[in-house]
Amino acid sequence: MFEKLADIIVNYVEVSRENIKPESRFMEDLGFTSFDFMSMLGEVEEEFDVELEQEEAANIRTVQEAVDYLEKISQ
Amino acid sequence: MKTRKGYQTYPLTVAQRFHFFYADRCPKKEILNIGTSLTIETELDVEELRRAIYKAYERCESARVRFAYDKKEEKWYQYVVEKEEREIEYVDFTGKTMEEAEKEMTAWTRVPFPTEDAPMNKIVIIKLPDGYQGIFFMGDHRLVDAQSLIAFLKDIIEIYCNAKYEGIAYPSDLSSYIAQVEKDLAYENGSKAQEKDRKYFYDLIESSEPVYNGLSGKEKLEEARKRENNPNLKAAPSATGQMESAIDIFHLEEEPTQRLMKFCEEQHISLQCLLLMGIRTYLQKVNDCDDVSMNVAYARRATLSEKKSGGTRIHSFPFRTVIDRDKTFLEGIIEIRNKQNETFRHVNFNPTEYFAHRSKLYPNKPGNTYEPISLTYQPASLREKGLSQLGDIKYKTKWYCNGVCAHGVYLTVMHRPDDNGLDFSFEHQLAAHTREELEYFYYYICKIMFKGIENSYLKIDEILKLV
Repeated sequence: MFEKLADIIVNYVEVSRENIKPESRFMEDLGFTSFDFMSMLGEVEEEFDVELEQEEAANIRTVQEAVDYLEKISQ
Repeated sequence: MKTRKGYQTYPLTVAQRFHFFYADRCPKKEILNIGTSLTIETELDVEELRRAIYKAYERCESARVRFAYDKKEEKWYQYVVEKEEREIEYVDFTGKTMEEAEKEMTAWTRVPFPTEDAPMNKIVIIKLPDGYQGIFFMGDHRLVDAQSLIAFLKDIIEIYCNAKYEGIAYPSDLSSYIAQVEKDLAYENGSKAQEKDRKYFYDLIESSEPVYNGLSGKEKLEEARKRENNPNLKAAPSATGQMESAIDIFHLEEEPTQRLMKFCEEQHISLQCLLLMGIRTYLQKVNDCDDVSMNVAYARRATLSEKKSGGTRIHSFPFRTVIDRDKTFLEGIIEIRNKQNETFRHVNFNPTEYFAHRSKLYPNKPGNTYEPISLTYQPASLREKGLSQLGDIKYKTKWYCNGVCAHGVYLTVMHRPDDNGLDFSFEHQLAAHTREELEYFYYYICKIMFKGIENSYLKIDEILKLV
């Protein structure tokens, strides 16, 4: 899940793949804007075939939190 | 039209055609011009800079676009020429006053581009009376927006710095403008995503009719009600028929800007949400109405391909919030954040279709609207990457007024590259608003934002009493 998500992340911000860590924060560390983040969620929904709860997704701060959330809703 | 002058042609995207929406109603075609200058307090190598500009043209497809009109189809097309060969002029303002130099650059900004088969931007290398040197850039809004303009200028700087200084990397490749246009056209051509976005916006429009809240209170709405002999009228004119305009800029210093940014970071919200909260709370106060609407511009550049493809991508939509005064300031912002997040996912939709659908449902006299102001927040700044490579060298940017504006008032908030404070730039029709009126508005939205972030758990009603 982490690997797939990292593949998506590099399409949105200028960060090298190896610099994406589970603890990386989307806004502060990876340089996402809220528009980038919400747009990425659209791609995540398609890629993982899930439907995200928007308010819950908006509270995600780190890559690990995103992975945990995706694993939870994929079950 | 399949080809023009041997080049493949492409229809214009919705974001490009949106500009015809107001340009068609304005006899002065310079309404489409965006003019800016970027100058640095250092002696530049003019020949090297010229080479960097040609290189940047080579790298950026959208800077080489031409338009063509098909009379049979009554439709505009665009094509990308292979090479930009025109002369890049050098103008030395030494010996003139700063006012004279700025007057001349403002005059350049007021010359419309030829309509067909011609370059749609102009670059001049300039030397200002104070010794600063750099670039004047003017582009047609159908091919450039603030973000792509900043990206293009950054590219020139990075190419120049790479050539002139040791250890400065050559900028990474840009992405294809045409690939992005094709992607947008595919979306517009009846895609599933478009259908989903249409449903979202149609449901919003059909939920209920908004109401106009003026910058100076209910006056305009009451006048419109009297004029039309309709006490239930909800729309009023925010613009006038006279499009002569000015830009008034108010500066928020670095330290208070940092306080706003810190709050946003802590609360995990964007500055745009805080600005929206400040503006809507002000309008809520002066109109004594919780139902507030304004236009918001969305840059639509999320992926790296979108960020680096140049062109124009802005779509503007009304943003309506009904926030009870009993809610806290923070609850209000969170509500705005959630609504903005929801909107973000649908902004590829055609704004012209949005307005057409709304007009059909709530017919109003031409010119009547529900939004008294349009807002753009521009997070991109020349400071990151581009100019930071030059070390401590001072630099300045300036935007020039094209002299005409279709909106009553258009507020652009952007970060100043030199000190990272904020510029609140009000482009407004002279007949619609005075500088004093806008200064008062600016003063109060700042006051609301600062009181709000210091007391975010206070009710909106209490914040309003404090200011």
